[in-house]
Amino acid sequence: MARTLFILVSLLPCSLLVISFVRESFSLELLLVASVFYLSLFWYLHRHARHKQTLASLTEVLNRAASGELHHRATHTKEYGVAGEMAWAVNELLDFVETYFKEVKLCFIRVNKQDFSREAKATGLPGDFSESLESINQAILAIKENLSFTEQNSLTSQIHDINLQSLRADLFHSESDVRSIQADIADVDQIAKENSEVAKESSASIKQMSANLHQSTEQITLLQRKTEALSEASEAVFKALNLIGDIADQTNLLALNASVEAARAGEAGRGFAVVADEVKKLSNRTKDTAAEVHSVLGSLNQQVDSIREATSSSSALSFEVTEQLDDFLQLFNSLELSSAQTSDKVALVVDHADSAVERIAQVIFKQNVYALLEEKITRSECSGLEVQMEEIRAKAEEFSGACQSLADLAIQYVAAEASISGDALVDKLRRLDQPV
Amino acid sequence: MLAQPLSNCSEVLLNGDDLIISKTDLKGRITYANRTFMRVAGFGEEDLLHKPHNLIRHPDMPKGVFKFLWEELRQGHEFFGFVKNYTADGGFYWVFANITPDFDAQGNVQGYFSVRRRPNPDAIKVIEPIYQKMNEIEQRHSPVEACKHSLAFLNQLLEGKQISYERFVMQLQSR
Ligand SMILES: Cc1cc2nc3c(=O)[nH]c(=O)nc-3n(C[C@H](O)[C@H](O)[C@H](O)COP(=O)(O)O)c2cc1C
Repeated sequence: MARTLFILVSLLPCSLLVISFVRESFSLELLLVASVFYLSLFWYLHRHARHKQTLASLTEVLNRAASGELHHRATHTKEYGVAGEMAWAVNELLDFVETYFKEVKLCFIRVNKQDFSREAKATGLPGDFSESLESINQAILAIKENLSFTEQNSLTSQIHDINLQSLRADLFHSESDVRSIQADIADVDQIAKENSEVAKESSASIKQMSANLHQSTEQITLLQRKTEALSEASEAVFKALNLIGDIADQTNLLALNASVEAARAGEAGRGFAVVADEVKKLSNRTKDTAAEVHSVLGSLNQQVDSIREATSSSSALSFEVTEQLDDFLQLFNSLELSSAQTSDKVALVVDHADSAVERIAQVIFKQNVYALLEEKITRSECSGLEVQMEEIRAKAEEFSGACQSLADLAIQYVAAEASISGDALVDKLRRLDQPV
Repeated sequence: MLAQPLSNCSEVLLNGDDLIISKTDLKGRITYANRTFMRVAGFGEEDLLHKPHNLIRHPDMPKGVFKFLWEELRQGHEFFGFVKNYTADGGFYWVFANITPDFDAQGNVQGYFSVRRRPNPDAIKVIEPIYQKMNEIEQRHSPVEACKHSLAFLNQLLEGKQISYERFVMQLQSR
């Protein structure tokens, strides 16, 4: 309808021109007006067509953008008035949108490769665009920190792993070390006991020896005393011999006087002279015998003296030996005492070693329980953990209540028999796990 | 406009929020330039469209930089760099440029996209003597060998600083 009207109106100057020509009233002015009209019409139509073209390309650009292709632009829009302005507005909006998305995309391509060096460049982008990019940069920074934290964590946990493994091996060795110490100490105890036994026996035999020695010393003393008595007796015999000698001398003198008297009496005294002679002979024999006895007694006295010497030196010797034996006895007594003390101390050490072994065994057990837990947590599926679980279950019986409860808790957690949250697990572990 | 004598040699400075954007086809012919581009460089749209981008190339720019740029783009990487350009009337302007490949819906590269921002003035003070040195090196060698040698110099410089090219320019820009 509008189109028909437009065609009719545009034909009007042309028909006016034809009519004026037919009526022969044609004038140059009319021709001029008509030409101006048609020129304007042509200009208008051309412009209209370009407008439409611009709008069409703008629509195309927007449609493409709506379908996700942000890189198209409307070009050649200069001097097309409102449509041209619109085209630029759309182009610039797309410039911002495309730049924004490129920044985001290029940043995250790198972030995915753990390269945090490329931040989104917000400069030049208006309002929300640049604000959003700034927040993205902050988020990337947070991701980076988080990653380095995670890396740190994994590093420390790896170190922890290594430590744990060597700790378990070390503990195992300590346990066997302590066990061999236990065995060695038992040997020491045995030796100490044997020593004490030997010392006891030795001191008994020394006592016996000492008693024997005492006896022989006594006998020597007795002997000494008897030789003393003997020598005193021989002294008395000496005195008696001297007396006998004196008596013999006086008798001899008496006999001499008697013979002198007998000679003076002459013949009367003849018989008496014979008697006096006999008495003189008797006294001489007595004197000779006494001298003989004296010499026998002298050699006897010599013997007695040598006996006395021998007994006194052997008595000194036996005194010395007795003293030495006493020393020995004391020595063996203190050996016996110290052996007994050693034995006591060894018993104490054995006790300590026993509790050390027990403690180490508990520590190893706990370490195994924790290793199981850690494996469960880091692996999340528990296939292959059954063997470890069984080992722990079996071993748990050897230990005290706390260790057993710890093992039960771990086994429950690993087997997922009861649903325990991580926090609850940690809480329970804290309460159960006391230093051994 | 191109026919104008290159009388004016003064520098055009960008505003902090200016974004100079252009797009090219695979051969580097301009398919789009935004109005900031036209304002700063002093060209009209018709002067730019379908023209090669070296239209605004400044002789102070070493060839090696552009060789590196195209190598990066061909590998699908983005490129950052300080670029000195001619304006239509013979002046010049420095930009911190970021050039990236444009992919179509099938993931094929169908053109390139360049966003240029105001460069950090301190960065220009650092980069200018480096470019100068690269130019000197390039002039001492045959055109075929020139880029190889100037880029070798650049790499040596970066190795001495223990830094990648991209980190280097980014650090310069953000100083
Ligand atoms: C998207 C895009 C933007 C570019 N922008 C510029 C620019 O602003 N200035 C410039 O000299 N070269 C620019 N180039 C590089 C040119 O295409 C060209 O390689 C360079 O000017 C060197 O010219 P030549 O190869 O004739 O030596 C751009 C290339 C692309 C793909």
